[in-house]
Amino acid sequence: MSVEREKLDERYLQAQLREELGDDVDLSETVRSQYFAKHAPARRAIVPAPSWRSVWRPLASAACVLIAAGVAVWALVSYLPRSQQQSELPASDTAEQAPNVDVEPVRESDFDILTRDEQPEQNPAGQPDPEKGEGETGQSPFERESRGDDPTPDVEPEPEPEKPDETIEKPDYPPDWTDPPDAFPDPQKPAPWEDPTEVVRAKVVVAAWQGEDLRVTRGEVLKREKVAPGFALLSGDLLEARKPIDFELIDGTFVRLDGDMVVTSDETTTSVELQDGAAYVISNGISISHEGATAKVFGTSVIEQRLRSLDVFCVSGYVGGPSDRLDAGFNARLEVEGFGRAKAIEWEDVAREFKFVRDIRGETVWREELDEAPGKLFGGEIAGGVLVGESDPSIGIGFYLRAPHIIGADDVVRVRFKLDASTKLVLQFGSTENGNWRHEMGVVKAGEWIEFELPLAELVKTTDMSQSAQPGLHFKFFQLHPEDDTVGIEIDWVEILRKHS
Amino acid sequence: MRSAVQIERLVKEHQTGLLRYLRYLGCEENLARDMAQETFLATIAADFEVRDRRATSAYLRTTARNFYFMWLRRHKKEVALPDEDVLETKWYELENDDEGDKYKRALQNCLKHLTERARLALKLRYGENASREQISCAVGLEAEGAKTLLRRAKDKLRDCIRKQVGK
Repeated sequence: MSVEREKLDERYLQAQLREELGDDVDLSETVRSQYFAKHAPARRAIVPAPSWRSVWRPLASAACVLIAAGVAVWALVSYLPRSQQQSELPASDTAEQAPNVDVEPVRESDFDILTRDEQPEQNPAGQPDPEKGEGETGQSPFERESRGDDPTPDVEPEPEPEKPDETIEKPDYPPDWTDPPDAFPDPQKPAPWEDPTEVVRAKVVVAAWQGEDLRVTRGEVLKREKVAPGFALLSGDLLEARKPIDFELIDGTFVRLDGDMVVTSDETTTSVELQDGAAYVISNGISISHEGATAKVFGTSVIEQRLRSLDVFCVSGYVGGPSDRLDAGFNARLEVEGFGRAKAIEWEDVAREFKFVRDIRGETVWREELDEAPGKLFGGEIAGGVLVGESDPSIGIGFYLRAPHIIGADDVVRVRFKLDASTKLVLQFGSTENGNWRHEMGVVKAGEWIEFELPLAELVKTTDMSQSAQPGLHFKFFQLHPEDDTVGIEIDWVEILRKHS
Repeated sequence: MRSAVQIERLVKEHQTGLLRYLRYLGCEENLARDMAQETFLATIAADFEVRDRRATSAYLRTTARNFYFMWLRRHKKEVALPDEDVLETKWYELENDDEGDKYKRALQNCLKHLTERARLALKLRYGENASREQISCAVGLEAEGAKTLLRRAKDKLRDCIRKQVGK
């Protein structure tokens, strides 16, 4: 019971640490939108307004028709005398040009609404002579009406527009108004693409890196400057490794660089331009390019920059070219058009060719740090990133893997552990399909951390020692247990390394 | 059917406690957020009657716990968890009738007594979900050293908090 309670104490502390040191979490927006996406409020039906029926409707319609007719008559009456006046001015011409229609001409006396006396006075004082036309005054009839009797134009002719100035002036807005950002760019300031400080906004492309003597060039901001581990490396930085340096890129790619490269990244892809030297790459699809030759690495490869080409050594998985691919265990030159003739290689050949990868023994295909229980535990408890507990021959200290691991031909298990008393120890894996598989480690020293390594092919079946573990088995749990005594065991981490062959 | 304002109030009042509880059950960060969202959605959809804060909080915790157990079963995860009564008793003991405020204040105090390197390691681990390699790189230690640093920092914090909270 007390072990359980201590575990809960630890988790509670971790939960409080996450709250205290992590970002604030606000789920309200997400919950609200998800809820209303599922439970959208019902739309209100649009009910048409009831039609209005009234006994007055026919009468109103008739009245409208009459009013419309009256307006039409009035418009005709007011138009005809004016057109008659106009026809009198060029009388000789109009008589000849008038179409010969069978309509009796309208006489002035026929209209008692408008008589000649009531007609507007022709050429009243102060008005321009109609024969001169409006153009001479430069005013429209509306302007004349608004300015009363003053015939002289009081509008000064507008000056010619000045040539636009090169400088941009801020409009005279009230002081409390705020300009949008960059609304009035400073002409003295260089454009963003010319400004070296803008480079700082580039995306971080390296999650972690380790090594000595890395020099970085970042536009005008940094000029081949030596930087220390922890320095943030951004998209577009030129990285020069004087000694081999390990990088973990943001897409999870591992690169050991012995040369120069530029890593770039956009929303979806990360790519490397290898400018000089060579790189050992473990990736799931990163593009490595040089002068038009582009290799996509799916697995593990060593790639060396050559003149307008790349020399590719595929260690595991495959490397994609423009239209072809290179499989594991082969080396070929990649040019813009594709791979050249492939040659079979082994890891020893690669290690001989590239000194900087000689200490690389393989890639970690599974690792359990034991910061938390990955699955059900066999006794013991997780405390401070270590699985701790008493173990006796009947039950070991161990745990279920998060997911079964399929073992490969060259897989090696590595474990870091400590005993509180010297004893004979057994390392054991359980499989999903064929029982348990073990290795007797012999007598192990007490009181010090030990890193133990064993090829998985050396495991034998617990119930039949003549059978050894074969590739393809699914391992589901891991255990350490003493052969005879009861001892305290601490396990720090366990990993499986896939060795290069 | 709840209004947007009611939903917002419910979530804002209880999200911190609920996330803390899910982490206490052993949910990793993203899973805890997913479970909390599901819990709120289910509670709102069920037209749960909000009476008082304590009752609502208990209801949400039970729903979240059930969701988490269902998730474990669905993903065939074998995680050893104590019985529900042990979980709840310990939770009440740690929350201490003030929704963990006293514990939080003690934690804030105790963090000040750690070395800067230990604080950085904790910040990277719990604030930014950094990997062991990233932490070791940032604090200038080997991976095992970073792990030990984190373990010692947490041990110190636990002792310090115990002295201040009295448990």
